[in-house]
Amino acid sequence: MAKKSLFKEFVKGLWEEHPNFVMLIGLCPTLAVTTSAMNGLAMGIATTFVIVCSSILISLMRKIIPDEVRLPSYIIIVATFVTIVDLALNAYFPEIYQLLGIFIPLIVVNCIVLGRAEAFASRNGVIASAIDGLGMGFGFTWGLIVLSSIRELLAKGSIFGMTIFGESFKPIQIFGQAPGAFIILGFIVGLVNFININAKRKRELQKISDRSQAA
Amino acid sequence: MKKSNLLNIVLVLTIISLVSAAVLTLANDKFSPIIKARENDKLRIVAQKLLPEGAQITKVANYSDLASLVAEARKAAGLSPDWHWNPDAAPVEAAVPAEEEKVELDFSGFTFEESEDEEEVELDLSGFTFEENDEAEEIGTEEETVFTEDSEDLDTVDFSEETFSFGEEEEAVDFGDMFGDAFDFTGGEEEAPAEAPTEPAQEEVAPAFEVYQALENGKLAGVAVVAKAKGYHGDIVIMISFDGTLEKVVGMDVVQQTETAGLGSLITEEKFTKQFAGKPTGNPFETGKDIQGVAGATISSKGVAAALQNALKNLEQFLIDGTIKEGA
Repeated sequence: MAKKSLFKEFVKGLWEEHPNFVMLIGLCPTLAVTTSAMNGLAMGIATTFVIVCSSILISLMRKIIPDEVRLPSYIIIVATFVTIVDLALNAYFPEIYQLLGIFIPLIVVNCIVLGRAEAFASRNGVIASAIDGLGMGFGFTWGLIVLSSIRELLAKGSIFGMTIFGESFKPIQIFGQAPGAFIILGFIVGLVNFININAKRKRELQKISDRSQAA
Repeated sequence: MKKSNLLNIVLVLTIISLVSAAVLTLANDKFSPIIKARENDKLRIVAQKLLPEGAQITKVANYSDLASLVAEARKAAGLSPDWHWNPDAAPVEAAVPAEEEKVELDFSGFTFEESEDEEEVELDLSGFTFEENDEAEEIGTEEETVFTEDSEDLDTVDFSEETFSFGEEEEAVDFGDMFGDAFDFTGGEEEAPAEAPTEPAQEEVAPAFEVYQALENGKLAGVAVVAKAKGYHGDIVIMISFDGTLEKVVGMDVVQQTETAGLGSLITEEKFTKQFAGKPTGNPFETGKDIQGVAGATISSKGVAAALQNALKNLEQFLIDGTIKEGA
């Protein structure tokens, strides 16, 4: 039973409660850094690390932290991890650090991180919180990769730096910039909603037909 | 929900802050040397690319050495030993003896008195001094406030007070250091007078002015200059290299920029940068005149042009500086 619910905690972040496409939170980095697939991946990994670490720590300390000052406490914990990520990226992956720039420090105020801390980690055990953070982080990461791959493909004709369309491709500059991010995100959210609504309808139809068969 | 009293709240927050500070201090100790080393390397690598291959490339620490090398190279090429960027323009300040200079250009004198370890400070400050834009003045005032402890650095002052309110232990001090490094609140200036001899004061990612020289068999084969100017979004930092006589541009590269992707960022492309190779340094370096700007990125192109002009202006002053005319 416990195992099954842990699995559920993990999976919910991947689709059902997908941070970018369903809950529409953490959109600042989603829109800003997804200019290339590599950026998206790096941002996703950095954020996942922060979510998991802070979820674990906050879950561990949930009984110690007084309710009145839980937000400042969460912010300090999250900021600590973010600063570590910031320094580590600067030290070992300077190219990515250059590209992500200000958006690494901004993970501190990412809704997903604080949202998971407030909504989940402060109420659940360590393992469940870690799994929840991992799921959300992976969901966020794949969301960013999808969005950034599409944008990179349209704006530069490549994915992960590999040329797909060849020399004759004329890049569509706008998709490399903020408006392009909004447009693509809109289409993806629409698609996700379309799939979800269709699935729901199918389930209901199935239920009705099951009932009529039973009758 | 349980009610907690004030003491408990303060205690928990203090402990969390202190632990966080300790962790970050450790992280900073581990990562910042790597970052610093890499930043130094970065400019060196660009310099290697722009200067003649096989030459011995070093950062210039002493302007008079470079000046005499330039004079030598120019004599060998049959040119007048003094190099001026633009002879037609108003002559740059006449050479003044070093003592007077101390009064006039306060901190160039100040730094040159210091020991050799201060290379960077020396270079940067002299660069700032001679710059003829606002930036130079800004730095100048900041430097003054360091001495007079004026209220200019309000941020810094506030912050240090805040630091002490966290706790009186040693860790609190570390906290301040750590934040200074990590977030650059202090910009490095504050620490300059306190521990100047050991640490380079300027922690900026890109220095406003820096010179590299390339020596081939003891002769000057090239000079590379780092310079900076405002672009559309932020600073554009370029490195431009000249031949030993400073008559010709050998190459140019953009070291750092944050221009609009796909437009302004095209200034980093070879298409744009290669046009500078071979240009005589007597050029005015203005877009539309002798620089072909990037289409759709006028301001970025102008930023590069301004950086080039800064590079030449700075280099001119750097070389003159009183000593070269006396020596020649």
